[in-house]
Amino acid sequence: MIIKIAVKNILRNKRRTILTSLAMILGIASLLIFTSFISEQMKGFREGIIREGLGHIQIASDEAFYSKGKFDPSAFIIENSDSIESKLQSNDNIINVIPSIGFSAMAAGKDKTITLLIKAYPLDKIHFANNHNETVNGQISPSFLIDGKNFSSKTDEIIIGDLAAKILGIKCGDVLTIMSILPGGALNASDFTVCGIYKGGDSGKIYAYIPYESSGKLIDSKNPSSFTLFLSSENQTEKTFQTLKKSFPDLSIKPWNELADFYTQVNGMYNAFLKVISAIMILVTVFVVMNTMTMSVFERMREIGTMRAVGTSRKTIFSMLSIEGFCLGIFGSFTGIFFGYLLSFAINGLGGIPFSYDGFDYHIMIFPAFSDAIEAALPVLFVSLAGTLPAAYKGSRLSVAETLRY
Amino acid sequence: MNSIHIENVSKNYTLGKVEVPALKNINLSVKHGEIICIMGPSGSGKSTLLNLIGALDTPTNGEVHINGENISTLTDRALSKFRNRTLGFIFQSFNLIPVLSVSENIEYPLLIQDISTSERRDRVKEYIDAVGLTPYSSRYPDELSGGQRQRVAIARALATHPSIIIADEPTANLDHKTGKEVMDLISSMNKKSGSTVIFATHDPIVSNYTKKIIRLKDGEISEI
Repeated sequence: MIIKIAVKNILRNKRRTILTSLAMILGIASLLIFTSFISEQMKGFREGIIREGLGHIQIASDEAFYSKGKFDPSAFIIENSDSIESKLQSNDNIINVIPSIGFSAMAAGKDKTITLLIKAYPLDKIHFANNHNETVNGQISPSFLIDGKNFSSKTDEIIIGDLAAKILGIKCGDVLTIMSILPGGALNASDFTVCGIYKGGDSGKIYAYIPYESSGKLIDSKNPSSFTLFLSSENQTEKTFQTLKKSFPDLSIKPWNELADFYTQVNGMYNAFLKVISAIMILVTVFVVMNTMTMSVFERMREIGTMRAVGTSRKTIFSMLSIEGFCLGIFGSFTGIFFGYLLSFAINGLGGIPFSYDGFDYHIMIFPAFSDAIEAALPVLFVSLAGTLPAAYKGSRLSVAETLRY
Repeated sequence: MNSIHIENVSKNYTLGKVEVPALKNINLSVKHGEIICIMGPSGSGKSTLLNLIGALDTPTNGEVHINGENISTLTDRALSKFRNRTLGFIFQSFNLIPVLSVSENIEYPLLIQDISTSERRDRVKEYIDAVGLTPYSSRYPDELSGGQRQRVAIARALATHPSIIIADEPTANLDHKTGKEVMDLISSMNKKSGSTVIFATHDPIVSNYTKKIIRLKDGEISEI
């Protein structure tokens, strides 16, 4: 009966209930959409940096490789790389094991020479996308080509960034001489034909890619300095990382997120931003519910007095008023989630949220995760109950004789 | 044994920094089954006295004994239980719970008593019949006339089988004819149940139904 009275009292003042719920609904729906937008954006960002070269897990001979490896790769060559590679390939979660080596080199074009960071991957493990909308999964895909084509089976081809090509004044088909420093200080040089130019932004003047098969003579080693691992899915990373750490205690193994500093910073900034929005929503909910319940208690003084007069205990009055706040919270939370999903369907139906990055337009689709919905709604549910408690306490402690005088 | 025994009871209210005496040294005894009427002008202390007898308020001084128990010493929880099991209230403004139907309003205090579902149903039916509201059992208070609402309040007060019924100005919001009908109903039900009934009223009709009239003036009993 108490629950019935509580629910009927909520429905009694429909306008106030709707306005109170509306504050919660708008808060939850907006937070859900915003969280999903950021989540989808970060997912795209994450998949991008994984594809571009980090993979899900990186393996190197030493921790120092991650800071110094590209300048002195010979110091970090992985011995017994064949047996390590075959062991890695036997792990069911790993779908691709990519040996690689990176080093700095001088690149001489027609009449200019610049320094490039060369990255070498096996021919069958690297593939540039053909346009900005294409996604390549399971292998290294640093960017998309704006001219030329992917590597053929030839080992003397190079793909360079747009800015480097511009600085060097070269185009596809031109020959680029790459000169590297061998261990001990000797120099070695090889000619490579530019088969493709990729869109690289700032990194386009730094990185160039060559087949792993041709890197040996430039650094005088047939072994890689690192392995890049692609897993069946990103959420296998932690589990596989822990397994590999036990299997290869002498190697330095890092999951992608430990190497993605910029991603971590951006993600941290977005999370802090979401927490602030969430805190504002919670505060608004507390004040709205407190106000509603105080009004409700004030308007129903005599009714509360009557219930007390016929024998209702303080505890029951407190429970009844708390149930009202909790029911408001449940209604607001569930309707907020419902509207959040409805809004996401509408946004996706209209083609997603337009988003511009690096000169290209994208449309981000909104797919609210159930966990995000619960995360947005649960605090509202609890604070709506918490916001009710002062009014419920006050209502239950009122003097019966005084309330009957109202 | 007296149903109600009031001994040297005073009640003061604080208005700002001023203490206002509402009742001064009241002594009163009411026997089981008696119908008494407390009369007096506004501000004479009628409602305050009823509140003390009804365990809705506590005296500043003195003791209130109901059925031999000193209710001034009871905890709030015990007082709630006491009101539910011993007292029945009829208010001037009916004081029904607006979100409950007629039958639910009558059933509500029975639920607090933990009475079984079947017995509750029987009692609700019995008292709705007794006050002549069977066709209106599923209606809500705002769908009833003033007289019908007061009948519901009477049924609610009697359904718990209280030993004392407290009625504060039960006819004040009713027209003369309806007021008389309500008083006839309370009187006949008192005869059936044998409960003690205490009225507080200005209405001379009410005084016709009682043998004992207590007149209050400025917080003191001026005449019995």
